[in-house]
Amino acid sequence: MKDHAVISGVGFTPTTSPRRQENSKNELCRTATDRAIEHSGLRRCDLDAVIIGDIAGFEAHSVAAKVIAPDLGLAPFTPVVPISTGGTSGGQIVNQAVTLIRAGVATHVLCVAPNTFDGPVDLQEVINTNSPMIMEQPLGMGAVHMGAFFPAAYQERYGASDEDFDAIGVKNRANADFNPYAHITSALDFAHAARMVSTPLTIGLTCPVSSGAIAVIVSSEEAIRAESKNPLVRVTAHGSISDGYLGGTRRDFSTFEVVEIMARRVFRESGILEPLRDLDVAELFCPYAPYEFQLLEAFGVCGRGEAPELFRQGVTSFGGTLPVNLSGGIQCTNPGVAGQISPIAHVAMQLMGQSPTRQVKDAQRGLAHSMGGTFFQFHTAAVMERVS
Amino acid sequence: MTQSEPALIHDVYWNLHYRVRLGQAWSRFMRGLQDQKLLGSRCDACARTYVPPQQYCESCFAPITEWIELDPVGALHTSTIVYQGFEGGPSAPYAVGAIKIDGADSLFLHFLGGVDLSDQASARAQLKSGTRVHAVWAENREAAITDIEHFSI
Repeated sequence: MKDHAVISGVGFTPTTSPRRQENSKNELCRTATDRAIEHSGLRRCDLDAVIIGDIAGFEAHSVAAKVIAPDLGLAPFTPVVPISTGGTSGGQIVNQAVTLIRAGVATHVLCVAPNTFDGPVDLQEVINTNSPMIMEQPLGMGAVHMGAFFPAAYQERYGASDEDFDAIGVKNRANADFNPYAHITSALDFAHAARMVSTPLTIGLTCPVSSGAIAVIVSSEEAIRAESKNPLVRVTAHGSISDGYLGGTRRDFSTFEVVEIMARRVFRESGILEPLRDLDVAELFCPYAPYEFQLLEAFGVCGRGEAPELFRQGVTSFGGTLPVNLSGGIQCTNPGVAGQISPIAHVAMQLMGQSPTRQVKDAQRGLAHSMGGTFFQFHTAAVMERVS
Repeated sequence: MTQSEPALIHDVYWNLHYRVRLGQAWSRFMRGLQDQKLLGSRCDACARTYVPPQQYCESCFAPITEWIELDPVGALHTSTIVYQGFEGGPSAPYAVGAIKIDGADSLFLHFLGGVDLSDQASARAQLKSGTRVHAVWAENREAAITDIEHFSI
């Protein structure tokens, strides 16, 4: 490794529903890019590569990166790297930027996470093309129905109640009240939230479809240390992992077994011995609110089946030992690739002491996670630490 | 960005059709369903049994050559009752589940039947983990996963 990689700039656009979106994808990505550059204090010509994420099928054309890149106002001939790994694209673009910096082949890399869901008239029609077709998708399984298997199994295995799940949903919407870039907040109508979609998932436990973009700049620590206008947030470990593709190859839906393996890898690399003690803030990608329990357990914050009690004690709420999803998480704001990079963006801002949400005092270390695949076969993680 | 009038939206419509080749293992599996047989494959090295069958083992990566027929019965691992379906899908409510077929190491996903879904609480209680289920074959079978109509409790 030639150098450490640090997050040097973050740029958000406001988030809305796709229906109310008045800007094109390119305009949103340009705005997010401008804000990230301004936040970093870098000049446009300092950027020596751009990585742009998409999710195959959601665009009306192929390779969105090639269409978006020319509108970002970068120097001529800036290399453009498209990354399309479905629900983990947002996590992977930062991971890959970190890899380029560590390898010494780039100094400042722009990561662009566009809004993804504005185009398709029927999102499920596109999701069907990403599901295990032939064998499982024909069995009446849309995205949320596949998603329901996990909390259903968790409930049966550990006895978590519908009320335990609802409480997580309420906690995250209350967090979103303090996030100016959130889409759904505690203003969500109570009766609407209670509508059952697919047991045990109600509307209130299920992510919305949002529109907004986020850009993040990853820099060489050596190159930016002297002139950085922000505290240095080093990416101390990053990882990704995949599970079998068919839903049925999962032996047990009550846990995310591959996340347990990924967690051991990234915590070893970043020197996290006890996640609950060593981490100050976490953003976990939970398109369905109950996943927060399952991911906390998979990341070793507590034992299997213990997360509801941890939550009841306030450990994962604002003011607790390890606040989780202070942004409100994906359950409140889900603009696709921008939603996937959002955990990294929000954790980085917390560690800089500049969170647009409620700031965790003296936050030093944080964990960001993203996942994808209709049966959540794919995951990424990044551990970050303030080093200045 | 300044704006005086709402931004325009244009419709774009692509009409695409695909042909997906199922390959050797899945073709044999689907033809088995047509004959009311549930086929799986068993790893030559570690004896893990896969339904639907695979030609290699996802656990130990060894090639799989042995085929076996399983009784289309098993126990429910987990399930969900769908009250809001999707365009082009079955009409709600319906139930889907992950089934541990007796003798298999993977889970098999399918529709669940034999339960009145109009009362949510009672239906959820009846679809508990461990509930025994058996395949109900479709009358018209065309070598597709839906040749099993559902698994009934």
